[in-house]
Amino acid sequence: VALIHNIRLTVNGRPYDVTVRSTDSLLDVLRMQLNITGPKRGCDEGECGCCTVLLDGRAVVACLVWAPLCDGKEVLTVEGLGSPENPHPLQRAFHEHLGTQCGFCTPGMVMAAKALLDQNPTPTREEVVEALAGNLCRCTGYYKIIEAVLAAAYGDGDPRVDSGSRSVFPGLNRYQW
Amino acid sequence: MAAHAADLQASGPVYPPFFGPAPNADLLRPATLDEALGLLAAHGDRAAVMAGGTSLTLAMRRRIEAPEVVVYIGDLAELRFIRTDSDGLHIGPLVTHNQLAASPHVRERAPILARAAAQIAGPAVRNLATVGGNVARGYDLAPPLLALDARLTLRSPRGQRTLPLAEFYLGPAWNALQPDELITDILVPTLFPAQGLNVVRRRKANDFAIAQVAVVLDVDGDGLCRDVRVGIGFGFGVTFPVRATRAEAELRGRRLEQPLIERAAAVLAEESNPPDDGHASAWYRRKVIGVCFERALNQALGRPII
Repeated sequence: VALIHNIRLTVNGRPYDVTVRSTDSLLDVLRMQLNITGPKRGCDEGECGCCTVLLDGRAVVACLVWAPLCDGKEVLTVEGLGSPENPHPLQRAFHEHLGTQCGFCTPGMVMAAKALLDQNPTPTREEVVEALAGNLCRCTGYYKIIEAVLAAAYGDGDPRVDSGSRSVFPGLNRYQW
Repeated sequence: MAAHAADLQASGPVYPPFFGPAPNADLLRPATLDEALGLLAAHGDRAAVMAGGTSLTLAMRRRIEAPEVVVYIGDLAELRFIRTDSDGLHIGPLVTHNQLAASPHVRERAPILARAAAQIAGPAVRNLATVGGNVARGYDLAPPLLALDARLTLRSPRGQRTLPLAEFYLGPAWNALQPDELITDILVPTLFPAQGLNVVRRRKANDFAIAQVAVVLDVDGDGLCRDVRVGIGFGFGVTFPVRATRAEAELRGRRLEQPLIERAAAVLAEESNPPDDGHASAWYRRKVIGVCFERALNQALGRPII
């Protein structure tokens, strides 16, 4: 009988030993046991993409991954990308292009974008839209999120990025407030 | 039952009243196919098979399924392959939707299958969900596979059998799999290159089809239809994917001109059995499936799609 499992998984480069039930999801473990709350519980059904994390480098919805199956695997959440002092280029671009409003979808968006850029560092706008198709945002209308991903890929000032989407006062939007 | 609950049931999908964390289950991880089949034979109806888990997890949270034992087959490397031989294209049941959509073999031989796979759910779900699970449950890969005349190999400790996909679906949420059987191979025979697929869904991503038609054609230079296969499906609902045999008979041996196509579309709408649920009404699905059919057929013929 295997109702309870002792597993070891690596989250953001740090190994953790946890005890889980068979049907616990990876999201349950991250949020409730490890207190890693970047991945959000939106729909808990794989529809909204808010819990997107990288599992061995592939984007997956953590709410549908059974935790015991993550034994020995490597998980990357938004916490593993960068810090407020030293943000990942994607995080900086989301910030400067105002790709976040309430912020609930942002960790999933950033991780889905990370998975895209890892595979394809020079995506077209259509490829960005396709890569983010599984992530719902109820605030922004998506435009600035797409611009942020393009800006992270190509840099500000590139003709593929809408320069108007950049914050007028990026220096005023400090990361720590 | 409270009055408002009855109203909800009249207009939307019928879910059991309780949603919540899935009840715990015994999770077994066989390392070989024979071990997996042995476990399934030992546990019978009390066991469920899991690969990607995207469907089973939700069914358990909604109390639609309550297995005591879950046999995880995702470790069976021998079920994860895409290869071609003289019979056609073999697809392993553990291939994920993203792998299927990206495979050059699939894109070359069965472009409608690759396109269907690329449209299902979102990228992060397609990395988990497997072809075998989609086929077993009769979701959105089934209509293109029906049109491609796919054959399944089913294996149990008692032996092995092959079955045309058209004989696999027996009813809503009911297929020919015995409790101790696993799909071990999905064969897409080498077929006619004229293929078309048209899907209507409410959203472009993360949604089931509300109507879907896949067409595979053998047509000569004069536009005479020598053979045709049409698979239709209505996504996730109280129905199951089928071949549209009466519409096929309407087309076979005739020249594919617009009046005939419209007549066949009407026959297809007539013979289809669309579900009436919260995703779309049966009336709408019946209207739209004929349009899907015309578009899929015109795409297979390389004609412009209006």
